Amino acid sequence: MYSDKVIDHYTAPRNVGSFEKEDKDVGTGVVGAPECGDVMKLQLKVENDRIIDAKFKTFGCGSAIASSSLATEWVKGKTIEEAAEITNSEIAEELNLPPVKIHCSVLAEDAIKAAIKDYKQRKQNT
Amino acid sequence: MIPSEELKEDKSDHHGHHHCASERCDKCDSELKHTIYCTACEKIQQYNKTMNYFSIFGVSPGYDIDKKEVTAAFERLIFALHPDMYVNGSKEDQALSLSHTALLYEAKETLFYPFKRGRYLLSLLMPGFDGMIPQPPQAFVLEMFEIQEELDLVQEGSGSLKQTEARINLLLQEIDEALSADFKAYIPNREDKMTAGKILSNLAKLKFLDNLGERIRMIGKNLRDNLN
Repeated sequence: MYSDKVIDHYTAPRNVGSFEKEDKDVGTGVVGAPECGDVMKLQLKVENDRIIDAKFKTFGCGSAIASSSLATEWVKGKTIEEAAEITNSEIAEELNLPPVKIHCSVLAEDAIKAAIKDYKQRKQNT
Repeated sequence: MIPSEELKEDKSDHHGHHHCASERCDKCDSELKHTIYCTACEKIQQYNKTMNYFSIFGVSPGYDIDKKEVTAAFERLIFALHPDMYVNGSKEDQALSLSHTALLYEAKETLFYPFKRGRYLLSLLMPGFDGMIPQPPQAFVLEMFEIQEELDLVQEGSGSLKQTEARINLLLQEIDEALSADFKAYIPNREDKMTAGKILSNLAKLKFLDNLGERIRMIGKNLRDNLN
């Protein structure tokens, strides 16, 4: 049921790992999907409003891992405004996700947005 | 999911009970203990609007269920409704036997798992509930992530599986008790939106704990396999 692209990301996930959460240049988003119980952490490292690096760690199915792996690839090099515009349907389309796995791509979109929100809050507080 | 019109009706139409006992057999008019099968005349029953996963086993709809009672009813019905019993029956009964058998498996599966049971029960009680479960509180999501990382450590050989397991079981117990109490409050008073909200919030947590429980079983199994 998995597409080739999902299997590729699942077997060789990009950007697995984490940054120091307290780093003021890092935004962290931790989200969960109640439909499947998967949890995902996505972190962005930002310099001059541009995302220079991204990491993720996902506990979940192949589609959730692939969605977050792809999300970290896509956000790199983008400004935070550009990254905020990535939608779940773009991720689902790229990975050929079946309807029952769409929520995995939603999770990845939510994680990007949560990480951006966290980054902005940190910037405001410093 | 099969709809249950009776439970969804405005509660002003109710008389305080929504039991399957008021249903009568299509054929002999006996009172039905299980809404899909008449134990008096052995007639397989048509679908009807009051049928639900609880009534087919003859138990009242609620979060707390007697698994022994459901299992006993399941075993009796799965035998009585087996397609082999209807090889000489009417085409209609044969078709019902097949679909009721599938229904029995689905119903048992639903009632035996707290998340599925709670969500199904809520769909019977709350008009307009489409089964969508909201996001759990952020603190809970963080806790789930933290426990998953704790299990990574266990897999790497540090950390205590027993300790993490106890932590999960405690969370599960708390949620189970809350759901039990909240459903008891909500069933007679469905205007109580606050309790409905608490139920949804606790249901949202169950799937995460299911996953953790599943991972713990896998780790435990691997540890045992490695010892052997």
